[in-house]
Amino acid sequence: MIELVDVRKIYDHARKPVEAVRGVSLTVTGGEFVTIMGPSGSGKSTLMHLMGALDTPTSGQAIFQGHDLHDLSDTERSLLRRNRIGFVFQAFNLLPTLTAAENVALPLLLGGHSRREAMARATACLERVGLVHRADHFPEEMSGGEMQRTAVARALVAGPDAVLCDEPTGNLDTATSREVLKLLASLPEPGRRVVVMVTHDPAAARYGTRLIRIRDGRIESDEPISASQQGVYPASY
Amino acid sequence: MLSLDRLLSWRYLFQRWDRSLLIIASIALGVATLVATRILNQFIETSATQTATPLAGGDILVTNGEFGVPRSIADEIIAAQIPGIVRVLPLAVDRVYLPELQGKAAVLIGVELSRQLLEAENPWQVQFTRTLELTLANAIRAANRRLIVVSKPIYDAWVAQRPSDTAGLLIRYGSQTLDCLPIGYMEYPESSPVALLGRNVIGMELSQAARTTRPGPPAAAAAVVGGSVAESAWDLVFPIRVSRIDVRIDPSANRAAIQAALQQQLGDRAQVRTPEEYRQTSQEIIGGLQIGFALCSAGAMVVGLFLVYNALSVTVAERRHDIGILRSIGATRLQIVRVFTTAAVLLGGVGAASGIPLGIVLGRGVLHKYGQDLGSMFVNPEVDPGWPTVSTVVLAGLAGILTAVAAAFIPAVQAACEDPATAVRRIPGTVGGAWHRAHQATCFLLIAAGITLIVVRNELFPALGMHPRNGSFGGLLTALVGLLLAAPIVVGIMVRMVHPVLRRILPIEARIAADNLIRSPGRTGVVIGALGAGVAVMIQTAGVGRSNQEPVEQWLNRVIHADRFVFAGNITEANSSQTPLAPEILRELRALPEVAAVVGFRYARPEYNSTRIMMVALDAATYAELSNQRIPGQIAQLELLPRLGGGRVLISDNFALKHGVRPGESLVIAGTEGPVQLQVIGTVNDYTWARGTIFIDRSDYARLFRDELVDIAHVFLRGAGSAEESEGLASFAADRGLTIQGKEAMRRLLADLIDQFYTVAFLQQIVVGIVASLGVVTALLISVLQRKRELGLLLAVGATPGQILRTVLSEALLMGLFGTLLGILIGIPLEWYVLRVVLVEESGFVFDLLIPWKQAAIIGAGSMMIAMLAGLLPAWHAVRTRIPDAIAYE
Repeated sequence: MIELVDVRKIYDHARKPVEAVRGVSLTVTGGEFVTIMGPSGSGKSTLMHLMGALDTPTSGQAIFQGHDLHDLSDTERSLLRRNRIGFVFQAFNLLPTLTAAENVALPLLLGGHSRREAMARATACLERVGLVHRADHFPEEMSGGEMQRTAVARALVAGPDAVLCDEPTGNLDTATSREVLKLLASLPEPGRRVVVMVTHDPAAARYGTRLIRIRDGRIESDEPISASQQGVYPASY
Repeated sequence: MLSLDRLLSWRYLFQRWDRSLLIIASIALGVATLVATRILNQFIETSATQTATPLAGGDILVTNGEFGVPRSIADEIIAAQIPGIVRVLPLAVDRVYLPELQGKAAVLIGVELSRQLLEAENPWQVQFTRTLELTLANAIRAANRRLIVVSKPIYDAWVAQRPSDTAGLLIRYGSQTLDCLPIGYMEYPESSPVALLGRNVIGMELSQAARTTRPGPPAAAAAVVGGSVAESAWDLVFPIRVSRIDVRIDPSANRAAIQAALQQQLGDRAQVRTPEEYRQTSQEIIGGLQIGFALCSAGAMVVGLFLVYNALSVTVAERRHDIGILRSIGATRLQIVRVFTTAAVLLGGVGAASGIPLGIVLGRGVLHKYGQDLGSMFVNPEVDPGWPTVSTVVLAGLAGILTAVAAAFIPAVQAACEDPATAVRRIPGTVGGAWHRAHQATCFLLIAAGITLIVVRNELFPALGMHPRNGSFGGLLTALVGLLLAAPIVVGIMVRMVHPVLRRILPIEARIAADNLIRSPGRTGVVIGALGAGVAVMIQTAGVGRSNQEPVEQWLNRVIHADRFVFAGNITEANSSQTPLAPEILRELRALPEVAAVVGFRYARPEYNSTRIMMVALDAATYAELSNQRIPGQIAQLELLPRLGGGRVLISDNFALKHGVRPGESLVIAGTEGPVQLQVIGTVNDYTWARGTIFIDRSDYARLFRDELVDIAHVFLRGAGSAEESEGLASFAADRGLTIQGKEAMRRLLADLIDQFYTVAFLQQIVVGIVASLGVVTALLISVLQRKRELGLLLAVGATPGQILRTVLSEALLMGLFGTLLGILIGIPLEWYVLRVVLVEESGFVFDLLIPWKQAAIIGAGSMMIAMLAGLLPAWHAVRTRIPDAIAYE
């Protein structure tokens, strides 16, 4: 599904170029829920952006469903994000001028679907995340958890093959975090959909099926999470 | 896709309604200026065309300009039987007045009634209704009256007010009154060429009309030998002249060949032209004014464009995070461009829709205010400001939308170029070096292109078949756009230069404001540039006005030194030769006991060097003698005046400069029966006419150009010229329906006419100023938004609302200050350019550069005041900032 081969990413906006990712190689296959952990500045978000075609590597290959992202045009990468990838961000990233349903429908509207169809599918997705009653509410009228669940619904609306989450519980309290993580854990489909989640929270990472630890732009460890450990929150959490 | 636009563009615009409203207002004012100037230009062009070629229906025109052509030439053309000519129509057209109908003005058309109005082939689509039966009683009524056909409105008014059924209708041309009898009325559709002359039209038999506007024997001669004998004798000496002879040709005939054959047939007794060629001379005169108006409206649009650009740039910055989200969920670059372009189209459309009616109100308002004076200059006295044409409305709509789209283009492309990964994470964006370089290169190229256009205007534009003034004006506009675009760079440099001083002397609130100016020269620079542009054009106009005012006033004082001035109608009509006096008026005036001397002046505008120049015929020797007595030593070259006569003339300095004619050389003017050669014996300082003036002795003029009429009489009284002493003169003028003015009143009238032109120019510039002020509001609102966190922090650490208010107002004041400085820096060179390049090129008038310091101080204070007022709304927004929101704001 997703494959990174000796990927490097160097940011040269600053006076001194910063190498955020230093030769990472990994493969994510259908049905996995991969969590990426690491301290601040370790390059985990950059890695996720490379996997999700938000960015392209400085060197190496980032391959999504057999397509090397380098070989795709900007428009093709946009179409890929629109139709095959869903994103969930820490800051929810909902457009404040749109209602929950409209925010969810946005990828479909961008794809040229009729408003009626887009809104119908958006409503179905909101139903799935338990927010259909909030369909006509604007982001400022919702709680953090509701906004994040709306963001998950938006990520799902196009029926993506990958859902990429960047610190999805970073702005949420414990109870709400649990709800969102449970929701995310229900998304992977064996042989098809993967979920990749970047987090710095060990408890959140346990919801995945595989844990990749990253430090200074390099993979430190990559190991499966046993079924017994999955979704187990420490009492203190 | 409409629903997507509605979601992403429209809703955002509604949410940011205050900014949207400012953008709409900027566009609306620009469009309004465009529409208003188009209405003004449309009016001037139509009126000038009607005056130059009224009822132009011919394929070829035979003319001698204002002096007219002998009617016999029409018969000569018919007799020549040149193949292809199907009709020859001599025509006399001039303006007359109807004293019994509240002095209403009307256009007199002299036609061969049988040929032109009453035939089956009716070229002007005139429907004639006879109301006078052929009876003996009516034949008696018609005796000693001229038979006329009048337009329906005149007919109805005449019937309603005539004292008896046997009464006639009086027509006044200058100082002579004719008793006429309407035999019926004419009606014409809107599409008729007659309709262009207005509602008040009078048709008269050609010879009689020609004799009305180019009068017959003097009244004294007629009284001695009897009218008809005198007229016959007069006809022999001065053959009947018509305004023009229209020649219609077969549509399949070769017009150029017929034109050449006709010219060969007539030799140099008349000029054979196409209507287009003939109109070019009037177009040459109004062209400069029209381009000036058009440039002013273009200026307003350009200032509006930059302000819209500014507002949309900041919108992009503000929506950067949204753009990141959209890109991350799959929006293509094109879709991002569309989001902003759609918003621009909507704002531009609404702006244009509001600007068009505003422009109509402005244009029609100006024409109503100055209508009487403008109408006096043209043959059609009815000032109909008209409505904008469909093309004007379409152009205005497109201008509004395209301005907004053009302004949105760069911000939209910048938005589309955003890297989604950084935008979505709110990592500060960096404007690439490529953008900076492109910006600098564009500024440089525009300024260089503008200067190049100015430098090569005399070579490039004539080669393209255009007047060099297109280069002077176009180059100026291009360079100014470049300067405006470069404003952020210039302002950045200016602010950096004074910043260390400002930091030392200003209180904390103003220091924060100054820091903010340095931090975002891109946002504030454009607005300061726009303010500077407004200040610059106002200073330029004030400077040109001041530089003109003194020499023109001195000149007016020199040439207007008679005690009284007698003319018919108003002063504009008299100066436009619309209301001439019969020559016997001068003799009668001289016979009055209180009158010491009278000098008659006649104005004509013959063609010369592809334009219309002014010819002033005056009683030169008398004028020189009286000037020597009254204002000795004040008029240079006065000793040359008595030498006028025998074809010797003086020319104005601007004539010499514009047409390259020197004393000792001769020039040729088309006269009534062929070219008239005039010998130039000297030059004089004169500001009568922008295309140059020839001074000729009046008796010489009457002999050479067959015109004895007088437009204005300068009357010198025997005593001190008090009101009591000139009672006889006053009653003489009143008896004859003439206007009489004193010296001071006359000077004031003429000075007011000049001021009116500057008033219109200032009005347009005030619009530019308002657009720039709206820019200040936008820029400061944006500043408050961008600095929300900073302002919140200031409040959190103890700044009072008053301090926040002062910070924002200080920024506004600094923007006003820098705008004014920039405006002065650009305005003075601009004044020099207009005075020493454009004006010299257009008119040949050379004035010394005087800097309008007093007006500059007023304009500068006004600019800063406007900037301060514009800062109030954003300051209020800033004061209302909620601290928790502001600190949480990213």
